[in-house]
Amino acid sequence: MEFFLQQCVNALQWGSFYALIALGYTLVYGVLRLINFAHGDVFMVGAYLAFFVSTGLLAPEGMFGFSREIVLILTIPLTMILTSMVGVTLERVAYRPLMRKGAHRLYVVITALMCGLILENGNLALLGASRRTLPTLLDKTVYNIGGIAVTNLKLLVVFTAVLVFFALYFIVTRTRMGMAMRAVSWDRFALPLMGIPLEQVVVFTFALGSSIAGLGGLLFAMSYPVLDPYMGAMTGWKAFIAAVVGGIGDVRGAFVGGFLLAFVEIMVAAFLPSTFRDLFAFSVLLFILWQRPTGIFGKPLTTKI
Amino acid sequence: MPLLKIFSLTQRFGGLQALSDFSFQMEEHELVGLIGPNGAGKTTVFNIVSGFYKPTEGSVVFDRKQINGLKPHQITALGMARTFQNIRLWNNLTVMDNLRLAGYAWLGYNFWSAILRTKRYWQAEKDIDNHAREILEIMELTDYAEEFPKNLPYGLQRRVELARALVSKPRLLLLDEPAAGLNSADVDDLIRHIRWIHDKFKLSIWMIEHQMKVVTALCQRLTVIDFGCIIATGTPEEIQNNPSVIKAYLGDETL
Repeated sequence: MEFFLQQCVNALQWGSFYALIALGYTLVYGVLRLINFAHGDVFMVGAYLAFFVSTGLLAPEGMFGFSREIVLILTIPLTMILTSMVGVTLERVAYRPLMRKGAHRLYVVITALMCGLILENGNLALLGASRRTLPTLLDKTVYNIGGIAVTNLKLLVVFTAVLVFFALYFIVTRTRMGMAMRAVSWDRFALPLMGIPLEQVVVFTFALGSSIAGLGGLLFAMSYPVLDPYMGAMTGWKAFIAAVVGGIGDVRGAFVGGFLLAFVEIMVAAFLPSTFRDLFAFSVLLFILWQRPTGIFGKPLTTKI
Repeated sequence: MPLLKIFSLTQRFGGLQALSDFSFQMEEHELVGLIGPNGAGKTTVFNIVSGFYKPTEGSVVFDRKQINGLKPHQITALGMARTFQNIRLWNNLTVMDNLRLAGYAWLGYNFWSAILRTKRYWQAEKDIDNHAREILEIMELTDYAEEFPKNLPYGLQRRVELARALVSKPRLLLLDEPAAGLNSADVDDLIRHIRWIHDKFKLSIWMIEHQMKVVTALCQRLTVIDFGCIIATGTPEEIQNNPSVIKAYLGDETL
């Protein structure tokens, strides 16, 4: 029982990463009906940016003289801002020119795949193949609750994911920008006539999604401090699948899908040979999609004849 | 000084000349119509005036400002709103939210004041809410405020679209076939509502419409176009008896 609960805690942490990445997929898809396949690599860039920001703030000992707590507090917003700039740049440089020329969505999706590869290989070319290690920003404290070990970092990760979820849900459902995002997803032609520039809504969406990925990258690097250029690829794919299973376009779906995938993965790895992990995880997701092709929170599609 | 003045507009799409040498002007508080057979270029005129297309040649002056080349949202901010031939409501937002969103147009949106939820932000939210409710009441839509547009009958959807255009406080309203697909009871309601908002808000209305009943009931004068050229102008009675208009609609008698 204790073992099971311990695995639950681990799954919550692992699911937080999936959820944080899946939210970015779902936001962009919800607004533009575009699958931003570069998003997993934006997450990787976020982790690297966190590395550079934190080592930059720590390294020259006498220069800033920040304590590690201060560095962590500064690294969070800086990483988010810098990563959101990467996402917005992608939209500006790669997606917007294509969409403006009226390219079919398929071409934009392929462009997104290429952008992801460019980010990975650009990173490889610039920084080399050697792995980087994020400096320790948070001293590890282990709390023992009824025989279950919970670190302060795990608590921070899960708490952040939940907080981000509620903040996003609030933005999408209660603010005018969120309303505009939903309006774009339905009919973008009517939007500018109501006095809102479409570009502003799109840029906001990319900035929001990427900053969350940056935050996820920072927390991931704090939990598993070894960075490599391909760390975003597989995690990104899995988070995308999680978003689809949850019902892509729906913020709740990304969140639930992320945690669901992590629970299946961790439980399979815990109770079965760990080589079964991905096979089982994806079979479960396939079964869910088989039952509900539009995902857990997706609306069932009906075609009018 | 006319509210809207259009100088010899020409629009080509590749080899197709959709509009040639179209000139037009309308005064404050006028209610005029634009008619013509299918494919004559009526919606093209509206798409240029509202900023969706950039004209190949010619210019559009609205309220003493040249507006061709401006983006649609900038033109809306200057006080022009439109509806669409095929309804373009946001079906995933409630009727009230559809109207609230249109409030952006006259209020602007300050990102930081929205994030920080300043006093000004709340005041602005309240103003938009009140204005939207007022419009709903005028358009007899108050009962449907929390409904989703897709669940409303077609006639009411048209009315919601009209209400949404009004929330942006336009001085000029462009209506693209407001009576399309309406039954005759809905058409009577529509005529009543358009007349009412025209008087109440002192705004100018320019409409594309096929139904002679609507046009004769509402429009002071009409412009007729065919194949992108103006073929006649005048009061609805004059137009109905104009031989070249009859020819454009019904074809030449000599077959």
